[in-house]
Amino acid sequence: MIQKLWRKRESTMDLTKIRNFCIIAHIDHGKSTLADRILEATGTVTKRELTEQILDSMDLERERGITIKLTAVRLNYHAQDGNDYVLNLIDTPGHVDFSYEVSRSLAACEGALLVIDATQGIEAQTLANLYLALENDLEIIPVINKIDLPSADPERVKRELEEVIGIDSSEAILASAKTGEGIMEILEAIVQRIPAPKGDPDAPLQALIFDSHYDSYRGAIAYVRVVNGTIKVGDKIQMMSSQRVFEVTELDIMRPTMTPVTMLSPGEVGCVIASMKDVKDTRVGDTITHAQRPASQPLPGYVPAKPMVYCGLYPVDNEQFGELRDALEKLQLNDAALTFEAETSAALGFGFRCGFLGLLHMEIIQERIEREFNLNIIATAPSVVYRILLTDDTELYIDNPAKFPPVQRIAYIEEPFVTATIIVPEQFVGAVMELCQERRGTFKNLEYITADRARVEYVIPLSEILMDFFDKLKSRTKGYASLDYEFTGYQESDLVKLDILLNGKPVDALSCIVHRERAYSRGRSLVEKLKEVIPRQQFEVPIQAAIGQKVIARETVRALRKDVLAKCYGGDVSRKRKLLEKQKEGKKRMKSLGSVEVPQEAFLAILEVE
Amino acid sequence: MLGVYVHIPFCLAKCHYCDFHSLVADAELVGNYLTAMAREIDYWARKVQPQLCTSLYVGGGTPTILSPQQLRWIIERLIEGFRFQPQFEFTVEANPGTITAEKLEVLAQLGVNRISLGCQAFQNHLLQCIGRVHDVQDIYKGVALIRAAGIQNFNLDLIYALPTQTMDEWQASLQYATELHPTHLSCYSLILEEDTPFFDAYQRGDLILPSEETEAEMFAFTQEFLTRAGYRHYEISNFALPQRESRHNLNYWYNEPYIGIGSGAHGYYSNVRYSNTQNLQQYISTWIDRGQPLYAYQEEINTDRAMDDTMMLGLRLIDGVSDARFQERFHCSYYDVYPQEIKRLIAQGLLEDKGGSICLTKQGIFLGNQVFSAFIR
Repeated sequence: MIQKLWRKRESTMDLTKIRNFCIIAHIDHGKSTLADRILEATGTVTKRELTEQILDSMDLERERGITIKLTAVRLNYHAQDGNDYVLNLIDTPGHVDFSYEVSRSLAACEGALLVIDATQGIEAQTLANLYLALENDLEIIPVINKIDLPSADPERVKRELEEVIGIDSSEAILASAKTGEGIMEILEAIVQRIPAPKGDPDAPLQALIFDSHYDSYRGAIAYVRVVNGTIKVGDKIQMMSSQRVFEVTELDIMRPTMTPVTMLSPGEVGCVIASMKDVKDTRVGDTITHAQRPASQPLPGYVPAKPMVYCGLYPVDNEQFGELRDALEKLQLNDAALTFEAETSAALGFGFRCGFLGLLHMEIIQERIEREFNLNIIATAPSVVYRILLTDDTELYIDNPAKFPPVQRIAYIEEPFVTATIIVPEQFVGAVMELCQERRGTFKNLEYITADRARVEYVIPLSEILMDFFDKLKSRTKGYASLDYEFTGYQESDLVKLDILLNGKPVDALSCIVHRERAYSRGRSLVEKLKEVIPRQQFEVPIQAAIGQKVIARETVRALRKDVLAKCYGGDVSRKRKLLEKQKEGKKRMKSLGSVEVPQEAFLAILEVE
Repeated sequence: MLGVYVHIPFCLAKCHYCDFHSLVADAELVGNYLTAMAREIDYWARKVQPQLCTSLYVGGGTPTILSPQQLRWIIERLIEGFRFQPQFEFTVEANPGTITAEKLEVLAQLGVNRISLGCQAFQNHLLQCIGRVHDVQDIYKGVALIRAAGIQNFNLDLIYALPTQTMDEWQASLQYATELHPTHLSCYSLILEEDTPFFDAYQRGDLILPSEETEAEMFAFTQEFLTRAGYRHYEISNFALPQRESRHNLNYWYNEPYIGIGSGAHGYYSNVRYSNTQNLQQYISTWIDRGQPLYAYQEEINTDRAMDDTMMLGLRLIDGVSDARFQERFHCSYYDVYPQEIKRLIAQGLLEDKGGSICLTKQGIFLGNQVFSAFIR
């Protein structure tokens, strides 16, 4: 029946019967369960299929190590007004690192379900994404979820909605994704409250890429929302940012499996396959148009992904440099935001300087390299991009502390700052402010969103956020705080380069940039931490922290005095061998810096010290 | 060379540091165990014939927990089953708390020519602390009994780096031990093994152990003291008067084959390493009902592995590994197999080439694991 409706059609779709929406929610507030219920209620999948599908995808994730996401699903809904509607549910990533991706997903919709946990209330991430939605003029449908729980307090959440967001709380739908309560009401609200998309099928093609992924058989796949014009199989299309031209080989809609269609018209959501080699050709936020009849303007809002955080990745075994490059290239196929270029470190040899959207993005990539490509890597501490003005008035952007120019050539240094928004129960406000002060934050705003919850705003150097700020925030607020941050610009800071010397030799990969006032205490805790993680060696190893020529802290790893198995138990050679194998395995994960063996943890020690 | 090891897995009580396979004895169980072991002796004896065995070692547990009759019975099974070289080394481990004149007489009569006595320390409070069933007085009595039975070749086992043990106490132990004029001394540092009372106590923070520095000093002192007393330091933990090295143990370090008999015993025969089941009931029932071995573990040792083992074990010997001997066995030099490793270890000052053999340096003896692990591929 659906095939009859959609597959062979040659005419454009009735715009008034399309609704495009997304779900905005904090982690654990029930987004995926709610999505599942909506899929079930519209008959898109059965309960049985839902379980199987989830299981399948998890197996696949395990086997191939790829993250499968429900990027966009087309639902058919027979509404109470007697009409059949097409609802496109567009998924949004949930982490602050990916706020640009979120904004593009939102740009593909006309409305959003704002899901708030009735037991928790509004969180910083929800708010950040909500503001993005409001910027995109989306119709917001507040959904207060988990009302079946005994600790649910929907009245408090309603007050928060009115006071924080200024939404009429009578519009909020009380729901429980678990029991299914409120689901039909939500579907009706989507049809009635979210405006139908607008668009001209005869205008030049403008399709917004809101997501993409790489498939080893079909190349890069672009998920698009058609705004104007129509796109058909066989069309010659052009990417408006890169001007590159491709021929459409396949168009699909997700129901939720990929189902080929012959065309997509305004208001529709689907994916475009056009022999594109990698996701660099399908940049999120870019506009697809026709090569022959291009649109005069791309859709607004495209920003090429820009890394905010850099770190060096080095193979533990120098001979695996080529393998590491292959791994990064493969990951980049599916991740346009990942950048890398070869660099050398005196301490670590050949490796890559890699750029990431944020810390989570960095951790994901590192883990995938180790797990999927089976490479032992050393990651240097993450760094932001510093703006340095030299005395001769030239401007430098440096993403690697090792590359800092000598002090006498520096006129001043600027570092990136972010506005951090933290939502927290009022009893932790003091703790949060204290943490922000410790991290060189400047107080900006404090506002009680309800009697017992506050929103705290600080302007903080991004580099401070990189240093386990989130973990500290969580531990000092018993896990109740939520954090969001936004880049605000560069500001001058009194920064110095802190060098670490092992056995008298500077280890470039351990250098870091710190605020002058903290240099002493950080130098001290850094050498103490390194003393803990560097195992005893054959010789005594001095560890020093220095600013320029001046040593500000010193510790010594004492020499290994005795390391020998005393006894070979009754001929149990295999066990002895296993012990030695374990010892050797540990050594493999260490990097030889001159005659000093340094474990990977040492390079992350910078992150963990106060 | 072919050694035979026989395991008697019974003790009066378990020592706090011991993770060796041993149980507190019970008369019926011991009887059944010996019957089962006699089956295993037959099995291996048939397999090994007509090869001559070069050493026999009865260890445990506590072999001397057996009655004189039981000792006689099981040793007769061994002597009748296997064929031994003339004047083969025949060692029995003894606990000062369980040896008697009668038992030693039986042993001497049956050809036992070496006793290994587990003294461990010469301070009653330390012996108590580690859970030994004997006291210092028993050590003196034991040595007197050994001599009275006409056995001149005996070893004393000592342990250093015991909880609360001081350098003075260790020095005293060495002094008292040498005054007994043993032909051989084994000095082991305490190793915390998982699933022992000591390990658990250590995890809880209830065990005070000497520092790595003190342990190293104790080891250094041991080498110096015993060498001066006329003992040759011939293996990391072993010292002997001239010609009195333990032949049975040398056989392990030369990576030569040996048969392991008894529950939990390890063997290495026709390129297979194996260990018998540690489950005493299963051990007994498989031998009595089916006359078949029941292995806990079995592994085929290929040539590469045999080379690694030869290096890892051989380098425990102070004389090191002879290249001629290596070449005779593997038809290539160890320089062909481990060129980089040897070069690096020599540069690090852990290994030394004596022309024809490589061995640990003075520092290498302290850091043996760093050397051994380099030869594991």
